[in-house]
Amino acid sequence: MLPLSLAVSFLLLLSSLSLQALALQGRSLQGVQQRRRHLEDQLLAAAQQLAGTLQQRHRCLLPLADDAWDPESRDPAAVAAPPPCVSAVELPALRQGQVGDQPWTLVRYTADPEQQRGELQVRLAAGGPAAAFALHWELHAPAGEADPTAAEPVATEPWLVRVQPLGLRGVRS
Amino acid sequence: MTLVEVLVSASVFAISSSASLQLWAAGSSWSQRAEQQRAQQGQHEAALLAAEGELHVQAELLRSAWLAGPPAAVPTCAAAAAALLDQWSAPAARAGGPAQLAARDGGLLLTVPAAAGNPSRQRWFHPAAFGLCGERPQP
Repeated sequence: MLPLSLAVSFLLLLSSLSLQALALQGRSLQGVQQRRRHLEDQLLAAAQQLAGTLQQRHRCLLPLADDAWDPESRDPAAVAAPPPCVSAVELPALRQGQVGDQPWTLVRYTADPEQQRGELQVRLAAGGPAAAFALHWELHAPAGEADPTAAEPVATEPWLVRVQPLGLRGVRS
Repeated sequence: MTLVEVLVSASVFAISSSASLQLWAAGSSWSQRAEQQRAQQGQHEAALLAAEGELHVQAELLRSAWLAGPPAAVPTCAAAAAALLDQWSAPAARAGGPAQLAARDGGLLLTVPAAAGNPSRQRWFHPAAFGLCGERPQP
């Protein structure tokens, strides 16, 4: 009878400990999710900062991938004219910044001018988490050129309208 | 089977049953709390997304109005942030909810305060990222 009693007791304790382990795992998962949400919020702020700067002062860069942003390093045969809205001195401020106490860096920016959409990836700190964001823009005539009676279509420039989070990414830089 | 064996077996079983019951009760209570917290986290997230959606709608209304007007109608980013804050805070525009919006670092900080064990959520937005401001160079 004693062996039977010991076996039943062992099973009872084992099952209740399993339940405890499950509960603890659930709690730890919640902690992970909270940290992940906090990171998403910080990465969104970084993307807003960069998108805001592009829209404010460097809108001509929106339809260009980030490797074409540098007016000095671009292949003159590839594109007729360097981007007129940025100087080499201003580029470092576009590639990195700070959100609160967290530094961020631009991993890459790609653009699809036909879809009027770009995708940027930013990373927190060195080797930290990264996230992707879609930038949507519309084309507007520069001030003073919006003349509906004009025979020739006027030149247009991108005007950012929305930054859309695309989620955390395992970015290979 | 001796009486001693029966007594020892009964004692072992009684002690282990009691300990097991307590562990089950604690485990169930933790699971229940975790489940409640997950549901509250979902509500917290939904409140943040709803407030962010409201902000996007209000920004879209402002942007359309400004871009349709003369170039001078597009304000500076500071003025755009203030206008969006005013519009978002207007009682007619608010669908309720715990979220708060405040000016911060040249942009707007959306905060859903901490509630029911969930830490507060904060998202910062730049008015230019909504297309509410930006230089419109003269040709």
